[in-house]
Amino acid sequence: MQSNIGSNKGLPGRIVEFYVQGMKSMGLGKTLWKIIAIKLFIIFFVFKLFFFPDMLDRFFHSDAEKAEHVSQLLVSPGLPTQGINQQQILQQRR
Amino acid sequence: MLEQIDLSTVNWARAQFALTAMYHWLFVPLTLGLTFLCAFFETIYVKTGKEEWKELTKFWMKLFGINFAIGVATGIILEFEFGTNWANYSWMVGDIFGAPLAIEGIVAFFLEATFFAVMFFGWNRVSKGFHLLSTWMVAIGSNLSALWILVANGWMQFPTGMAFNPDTARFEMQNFFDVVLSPYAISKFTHATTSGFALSSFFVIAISSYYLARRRHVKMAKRSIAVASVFGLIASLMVAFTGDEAAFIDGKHQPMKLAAMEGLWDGQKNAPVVAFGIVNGMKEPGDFQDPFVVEFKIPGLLSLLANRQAGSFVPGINDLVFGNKDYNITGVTDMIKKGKRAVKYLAEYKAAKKAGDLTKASNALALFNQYKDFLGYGHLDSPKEAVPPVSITFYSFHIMAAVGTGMIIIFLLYLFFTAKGTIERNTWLYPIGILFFVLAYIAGEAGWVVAEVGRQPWAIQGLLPVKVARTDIAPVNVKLTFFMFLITFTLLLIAEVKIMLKQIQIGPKEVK
Repeated sequence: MQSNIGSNKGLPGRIVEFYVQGMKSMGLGKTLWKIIAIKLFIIFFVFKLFFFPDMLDRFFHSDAEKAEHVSQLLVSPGLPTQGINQQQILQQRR
Repeated sequence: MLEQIDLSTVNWARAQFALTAMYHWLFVPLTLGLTFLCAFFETIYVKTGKEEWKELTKFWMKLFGINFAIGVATGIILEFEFGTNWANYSWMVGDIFGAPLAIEGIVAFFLEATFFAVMFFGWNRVSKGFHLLSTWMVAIGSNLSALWILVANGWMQFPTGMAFNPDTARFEMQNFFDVVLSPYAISKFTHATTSGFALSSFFVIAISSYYLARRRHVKMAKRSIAVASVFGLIASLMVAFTGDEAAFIDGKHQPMKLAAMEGLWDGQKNAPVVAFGIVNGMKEPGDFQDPFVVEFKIPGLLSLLANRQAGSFVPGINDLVFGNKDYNITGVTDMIKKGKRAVKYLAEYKAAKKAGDLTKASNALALFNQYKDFLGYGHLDSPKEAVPPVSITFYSFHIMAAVGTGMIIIFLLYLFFTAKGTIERNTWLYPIGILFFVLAYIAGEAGWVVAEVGRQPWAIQGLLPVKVARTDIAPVNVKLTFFMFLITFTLLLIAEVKIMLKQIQIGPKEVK
């Protein structure tokens, strides 16, 4: 790193300085980072948290239960389209 | 027409996946190709030491940065959908997809994230050589990221290097290299990345043509066109070559897709390619309707594409559904019978194991193993279910192929006039160059439609139909998130286009 060669800081310090100076000197990049931040917030804190649960994790607590559930679907052709959902299966199994 | 569309959950889930994948593919191909173009531009700058090439590189790098920033993480939503809408599928493929996706994450993080910062923050702060290395590493890293995703997709098209574990209901990886080096993985990677290179070349050509038309940044535009037309021509030739390979392996492993791509209902020797045709959308397997309303054929070409042998037999949809003893083709009708046996013996195995009858379980497992390759067919209710939507597959394939052929011609024209030094005088070419940037996007999306719609009803070819792969959730949930994505992605796209257009309007910094 040319401009940092004379610096007294060690490599980690120079890397941090490189990023900090880079961030500070951004023009269009600042707008893009804002878009990225908003997008990541929407994706991870709105979509993932409220709309995209892992369905097997929600209804089954162990891998054995998940395997049993999927096996059940595999040996019962037509089962998923007959309106029997995970919750009902779980209730039946209980 | 509309009332014929089945709006069940599985179709909403399919539509949602298609929507997010297609939006994601608006950003990805530009990233894949523009990184390499930036690397070429910067290499020329480092070799020649001319500041004009540096400013040119920085301009295209800025546009690349916009596309990257807007597109980043749009693919992660597909993984969310796996867990919510396709939970059964996710469970079954977790062992196969874990390794490629983990490698993708690590490669993406270390290569892209590290060198990306140097690429943008490092001008005049690191040596020219290290900066150039960083640009090349971002190009290689982003394309390597794509490799692992396409390996996963290739496995769904052609499941190999695995064994089904009846105790866990999972496909377990047996040979990593069989998965990574499967013909579909290689074909998907080479075809998808080279199409991204061609599209990115048109991106550069389209913007440069706009500048030439406006008599702005003329020198920079001509230089950009010179590099992009060479890269684009090589890429588009590779797209054609890899596309031919894709058709060949489809002929071997997904003959139903190939038959749908060409609207071939009855197999024949010396099978033709339909250069242009209007499909009879009402035709069904086994009926006597004409497959086309209008068609112009090139005799024998499909036999060459599918088998690389002139005059050879190519099976049609009817041969694949009902079987053809003359050519030793097992029909879906027979496969369904075998699939039902696989399902029956799997059920017997599970029941015997639960009852503690190990002898019976062992016998049932041995019988299951005889039919396990047909497991997915056991879930089909009728042979017709194994036929993909022919019209969509046919038109998508023909749009893709027509644009792909046109791309080669347009790149050749740009290269010819650039080499001759008359590109500024041939203004008629500019709108065509700009149009082909849009067409390249349409062709890329159409290619994915062929790859995915053409292999329906399968989530995993032959082993897992989408109706078993999906989660049984209420359609309203999927509908809601479908429209949420539509709005979010459209806003992101508008943001990208607006920011891009503003930067294009500003243009590169002129060197005096």
